Amino acid sequence: MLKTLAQAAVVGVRTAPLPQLPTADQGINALCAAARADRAEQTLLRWAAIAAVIEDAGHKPIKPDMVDIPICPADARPAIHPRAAHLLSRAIESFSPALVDVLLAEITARGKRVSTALLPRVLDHGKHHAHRDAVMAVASNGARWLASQNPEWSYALGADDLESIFETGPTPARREALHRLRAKDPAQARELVTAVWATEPPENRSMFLEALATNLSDADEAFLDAALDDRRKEVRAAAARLLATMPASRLVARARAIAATILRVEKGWLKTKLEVNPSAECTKAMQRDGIEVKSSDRALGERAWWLAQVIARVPPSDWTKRFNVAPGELLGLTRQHEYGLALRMGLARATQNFRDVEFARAWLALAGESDFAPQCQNVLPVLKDLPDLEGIVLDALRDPANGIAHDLLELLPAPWSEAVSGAFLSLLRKRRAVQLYSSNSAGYSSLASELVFAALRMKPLAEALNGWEVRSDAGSSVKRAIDEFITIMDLRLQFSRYLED
Amino acid sequence: VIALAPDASAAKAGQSLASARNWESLGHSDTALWGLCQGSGKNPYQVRVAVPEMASQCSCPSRKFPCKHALGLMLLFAAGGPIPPGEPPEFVREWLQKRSARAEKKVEREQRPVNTEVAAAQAAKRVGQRDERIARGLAELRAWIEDLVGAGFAHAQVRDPAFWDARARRLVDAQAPGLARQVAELATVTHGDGTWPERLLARLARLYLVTEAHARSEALEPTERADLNRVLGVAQRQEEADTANPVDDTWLCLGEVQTDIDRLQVRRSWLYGRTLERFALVLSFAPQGQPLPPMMMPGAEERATLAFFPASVPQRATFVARGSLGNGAAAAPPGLKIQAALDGVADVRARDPWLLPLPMLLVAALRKGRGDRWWLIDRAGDGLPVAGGAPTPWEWLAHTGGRPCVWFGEWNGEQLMLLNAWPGMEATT
Repeated sequence: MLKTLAQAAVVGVRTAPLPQLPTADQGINALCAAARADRAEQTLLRWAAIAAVIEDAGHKPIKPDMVDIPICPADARPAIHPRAAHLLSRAIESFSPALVDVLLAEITARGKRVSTALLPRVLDHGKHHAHRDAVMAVASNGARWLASQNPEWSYALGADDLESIFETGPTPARREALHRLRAKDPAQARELVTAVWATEPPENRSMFLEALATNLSDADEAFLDAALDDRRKEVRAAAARLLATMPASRLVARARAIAATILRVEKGWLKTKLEVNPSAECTKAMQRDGIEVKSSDRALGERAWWLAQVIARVPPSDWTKRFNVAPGELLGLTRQHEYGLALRMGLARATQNFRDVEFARAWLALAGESDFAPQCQNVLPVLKDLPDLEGIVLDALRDPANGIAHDLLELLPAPWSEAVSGAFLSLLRKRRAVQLYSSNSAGYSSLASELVFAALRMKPLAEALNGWEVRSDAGSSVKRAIDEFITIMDLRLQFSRYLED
Repeated sequence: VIALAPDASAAKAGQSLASARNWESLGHSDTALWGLCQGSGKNPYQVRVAVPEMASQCSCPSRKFPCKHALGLMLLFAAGGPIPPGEPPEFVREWLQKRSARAEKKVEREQRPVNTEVAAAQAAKRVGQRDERIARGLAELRAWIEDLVGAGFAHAQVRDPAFWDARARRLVDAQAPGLARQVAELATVTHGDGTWPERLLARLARLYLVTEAHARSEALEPTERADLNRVLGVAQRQEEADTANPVDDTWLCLGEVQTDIDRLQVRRSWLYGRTLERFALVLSFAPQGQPLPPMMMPGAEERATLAFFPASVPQRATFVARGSLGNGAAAAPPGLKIQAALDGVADVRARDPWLLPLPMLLVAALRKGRGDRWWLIDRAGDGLPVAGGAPTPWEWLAHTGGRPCVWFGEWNGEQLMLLNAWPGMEATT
């Protein structure tokens, strides 16, 4: 009825005739007849009013056609306290996403779950792959149930068809899929790469090789060795980088053969000496193995540069076994040596390539020496999985002159223990005390970056909230950093307290 | 406290100041909170807050009210921050004295015996002037609507928004702000799908119905005249509530909606009387930037006496006496099937053609349909469309786990706006 009247109203009832009494219902017709007025406009509007009210009153439920969904399964984990949920939602709204990850990790560690009403926002947070792991770890049955109904959250089901993403997806998604596939099934990942290898552009080929770094094994050697003959330089270099970390690879065997002729330890009566006789030329075979002809380091001549690269491809334990010297002793022999820098660069690289823990410890002991410090930083990641890493970090923190504390802390999984957090805090305070009176702006900016670094990694400590007064002429960046540090620390402290309830 | 903030940035700034380290000389007494906050100026700002009304003053130059410093202090206090009790310092005492002096004057003014005859005559004159203006405004509106359908509104979709606004402003001048808002909304009706002529005509016809009703208001019942005044937007005074017939019950607060209307904050709180099984709507008002008067929390229950304002379908009410709060979480209210709830809408329509929104208590489950449309579906398979909003439908779905439960919402004639849910509490009638 309203539709017929509306059609008349669009045209205008001054020129066009009124529509016929529009319904079959006797009661409504009688009402409309009674409402008829002298002017057409008035009649039309009265009828429309009757129709509108009737339609309103007679609103019918709709039987929408939709698939029935299962109801949400129960969750054994208890939900977090409402106040903790409030803090989490504040973090999602206003702070860094990294803070959200920290809070989610704490919920996971305590065996709790995110309260149901917050799940949509947490699932949104995990849409970015940087935050995916934190969200997947905390995902409850409720979160997975919700994710099963929204394609945007399907990642949380962990059931992505990685293979088809790799075959048809856009480049960043393919990279991500390949990384995850490689972690799950190394052989399948390699076979997928082999299958598409010939038709991929060079950027993709080197990107795929990078993904193979995860779970690298001797089964990959044949494929990688073949890639040394690729048309493109960056692909060849990527393959050589991987092969140089595999003790059983043919590339390493070739490097060993060369190295045997160029390095010897001479044990004399009074002094042990390192005899070095670098290769006179960089052969085609060496170049095929990724050894660069032109030095990229001004301090090294060509022969020293080749030497460094060959040494980097030989497991450092070879030398200690062959010449019966300790790692520290061997490193010490490079002091004031003609080829000292090249040897240190090569040995540092080799320590890294073959993840040699003994050598890494030897490097650590020499970290205070200016000759060794630059390479030392590159070696530290080898210490990552050591059971006594925390002890090493604590030692470094207690020595304020130690420049590697920060790099070591990067290796330590967050949140740090109370001992490490406390030691780092007092180190920061000591540095601050020094800088307060130096008005050294570089010192302040490093303090600011250390505070930002620590705010998300430290165990939250109540004592961290106070004692940060700064001189009024300190830059606004350091004031902001201190404010941000305290705000994050305060929020994390409260959050921990509420999680205990 | 956050609700007091004039805008989001002030709320955020307040939150970051709500920590004892930003403050000096903090203190509180029975009537006030105070503290010094170092801002960008040379002297720290003097911040004072009167409790419990949370009125505040600060010596900072910010034009926002309340400023971030006052908000920070209130938040710190609300969070149980370390504010020691003490004697108010000079700057606080001075301010409190000024405040109480002002309050006394106001009370005096209200209590001053007035010459009732003169006052009554003045009031009658004001009402007479208002009625005249409204009558003129409605006559204009009527002619305007007739002209629209007479000439045909084919061009309505391409009209400048100013076209509708101009008409709305005329109605504001005519002291019919309720109608003015409805006319302003017409501008958005013409957007969207091909059914807009029907929707526009329905709205115009309802407005037309108001002008017709007003033309014969002499013949209407007093309750019907009250309905009409509500639609026009004539403010109801507290005295108009029917205090002679107070309604005593245990009232459950179902949910609330806050909106801003013409620089005024309005809160609609829906209550449900447990034994009488009826709804009540309590409105609270406050100028922007000032706290709304305290009200029950949604989900809480209270023994109280209400007086309803006269209407064909009495809905709006005001507290006559408030009693004791119920203890613990109140049980879920009873919910209806969708068909029964819509039958209830028909009953209301039979008595009042305009009343919207209408409260609905339903037992149903939330479901997502095609094209991001959401539905409440009951056991009979009947569905009602659900409006998006905050919280989002996804958040409601997560909250209720897709299980059927009792829902409360406002029906706007087309969609249900969800306001509360009682998951895990099964209650049916």
